[in-house]
Amino acid sequence: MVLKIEGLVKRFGATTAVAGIDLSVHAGTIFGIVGPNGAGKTTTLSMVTGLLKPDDGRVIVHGADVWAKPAVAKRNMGVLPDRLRLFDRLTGAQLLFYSGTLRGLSRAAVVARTADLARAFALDDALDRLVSDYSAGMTKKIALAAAMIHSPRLLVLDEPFESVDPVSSANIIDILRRYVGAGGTVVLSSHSMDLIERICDDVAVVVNGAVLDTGTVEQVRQGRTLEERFVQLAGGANKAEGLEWLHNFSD
Amino acid sequence: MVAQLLRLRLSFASNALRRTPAQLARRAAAVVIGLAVAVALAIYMGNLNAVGVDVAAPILTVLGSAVCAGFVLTPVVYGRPEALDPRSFSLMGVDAKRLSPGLALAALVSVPALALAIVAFAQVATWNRESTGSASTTFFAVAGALLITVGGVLGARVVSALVSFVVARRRSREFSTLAVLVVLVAVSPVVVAVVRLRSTRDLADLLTEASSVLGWTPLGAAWAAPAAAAAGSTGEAVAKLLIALVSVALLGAAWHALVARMLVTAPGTVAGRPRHGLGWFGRFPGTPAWAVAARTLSYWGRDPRYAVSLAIIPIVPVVLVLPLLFAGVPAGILALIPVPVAALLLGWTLHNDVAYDNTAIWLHITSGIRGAADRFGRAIPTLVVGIPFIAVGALASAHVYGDRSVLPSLFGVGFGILFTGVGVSSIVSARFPYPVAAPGSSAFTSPQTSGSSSPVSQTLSFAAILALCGPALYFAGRGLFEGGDWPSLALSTGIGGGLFVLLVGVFLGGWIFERRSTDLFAFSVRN
Repeated sequence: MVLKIEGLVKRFGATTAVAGIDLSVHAGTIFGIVGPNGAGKTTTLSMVTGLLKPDDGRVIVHGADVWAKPAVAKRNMGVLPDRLRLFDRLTGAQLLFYSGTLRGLSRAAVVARTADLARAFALDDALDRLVSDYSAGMTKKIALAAAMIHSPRLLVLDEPFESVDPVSSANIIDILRRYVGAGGTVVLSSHSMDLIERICDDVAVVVNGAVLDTGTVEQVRQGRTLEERFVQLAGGANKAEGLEWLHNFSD
Repeated sequence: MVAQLLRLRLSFASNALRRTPAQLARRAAAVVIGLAVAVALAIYMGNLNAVGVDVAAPILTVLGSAVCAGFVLTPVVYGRPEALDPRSFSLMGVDAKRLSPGLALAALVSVPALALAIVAFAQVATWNRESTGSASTTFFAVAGALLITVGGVLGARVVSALVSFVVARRRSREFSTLAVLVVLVAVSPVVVAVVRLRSTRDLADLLTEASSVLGWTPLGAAWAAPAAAAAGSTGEAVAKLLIALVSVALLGAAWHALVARMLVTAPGTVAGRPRHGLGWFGRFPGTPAWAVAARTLSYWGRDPRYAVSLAIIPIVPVVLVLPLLFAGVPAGILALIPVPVAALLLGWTLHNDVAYDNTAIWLHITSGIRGAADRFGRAIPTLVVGIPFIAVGALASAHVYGDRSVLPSLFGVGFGILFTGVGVSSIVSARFPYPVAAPGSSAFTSPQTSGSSSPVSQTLSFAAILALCGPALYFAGRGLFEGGDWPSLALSTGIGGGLFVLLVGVFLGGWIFERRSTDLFAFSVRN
């Protein structure tokens, strides 16, 4: 068990963003969190990575409580947040060096791993350019490379495939699979059901800050596609009613 | 081609009338005011007809040079590409040879050009006098006025093209406001010199002196030529007119070259040059604190928000000292001011460092970097730049002051303020960050925010630094008047106390940074 979440709660004023989430993620698996916009995916992942203090509950990463022993827990995590800035006025090489050195890696290790990561992510040509000049897909890739540079046990990725082209996304999936094959663990969020269904071992469906269903992909989708099952869970009864006037076209 | 461009120019002008009444009124007001100023200036110049050549000539030359300089430099402040930007023609396959004269001519058909022409041709009236050989003087006046108008318009277009090249680079978007600051500093001696004038006699001397220089420069030559002719020295008039002519020709060539260049440069695509290697990261030790230092130094060079606050530091002491100098305060006393002031600003600038990271601070928080390492890393560049700066500055100050016994006090106060400033800032930036302009937006915008604590945190840190340096300042002050052991006391209290505050600041600030990391992150997301 690499990640264990128990009774996680987060309130913002009167609204409850996360209402008691429990999840267990096993080592060597890819765990997908799916949910509609505003379901509390990012809030949950922020509490896992130590960016947001939970109002209640615990997060254990490889045996260390993120909020009681942050130094130990953070060492084992690599993080890719969604919609946060990078230090994008550094070049790609500098950003990787910075990420590695902040994690306490030695200069030699960082330099060697930078070369390896650049090759794996096909970023060789871009290393000497400023990250602010990168395309959206390249920015995701360099951020993911920066998250992996200290070889963490657990990767926490918020929307890793957002605005990534199919080639890059196949590239990322390949790298994640190899990482998991070597014993690493990935937790990722997405609202692309297809992708989650294809690459994840386990999933959790999160709606309104609560887990509606969790288990292996097979268990959760119950013979249908994950998308159908998800729409059903997330309240698919919300049919397009009240738009009858759309059937009569105005002349 | 020329006809087409002129028609385009006119349709821009007529389209400008299709605005909401409010916009139209504002625009009309601007045009009326501009023309009114030009006409008033022209009438004043024309009235100089009544005074002697030796009075009118310097006034006209200096005034005219000022008008030309203002006209040419307006685009620097304005900083906006003009309507007929050569780059908008880059996709039309027009030859630069045909485009550049057309665009220059089209630029002549504009309200500013009209205003300039009104002022320039006023000198024809000034020099239309019976006493001297009026025919040749009138020739020089008309030729000069033509050259002034054409040269002014060309100069403005050349400057605006150059500015657009500079502005296209992301790092220099703050260029124009900085330019204004620099101009203000450069102009302040002129203002002070004028203010200090005791009599009209002084003023006349000043004008004559200025015009004798300006008359030989491209700015004033075309104004000085008819004046020389009116004074009877035709040779000088011809020489000055030639200077003006050559200047206009050079401006024309520059404009042509710029158009040719701009036709093949798409807007906003001045490519970021590749930077090889790791830059500062490669030069510093590979520890977290030094990595933070390398990142900060890289940002100083690449992020205009830092560049602006750093560029202001050497300007402030100058602005502070210059008026006092002209007001008659002895230079020796004033020489003691810049070092402590610059040290104070250097240390104090750090007091909101975390806010500049914006949401990128997540990297520091999730990496689990020790708070003290973060604090120390951010302090390193300020110390690395500040220590030699203060050492050299103190030596120079003592030299100007003329008494080396003041040196220990200068070192003590300078280093003391720097160290104390960095220490206080390390705490304040972790505890009381306030919103700043987001990365990529102008450094001079101030962000919209609710419940800001910016004045509190600015004043607090400023006051704290000064209070903590109080003893060193006091000892240095007594040393200045009484000598004795006071300067060495100022040295030891300044440096000792400063280092103590620095250490406390780094560790206490680090502790606060770790404890409040989620608050800092929430703050960065909110703003």
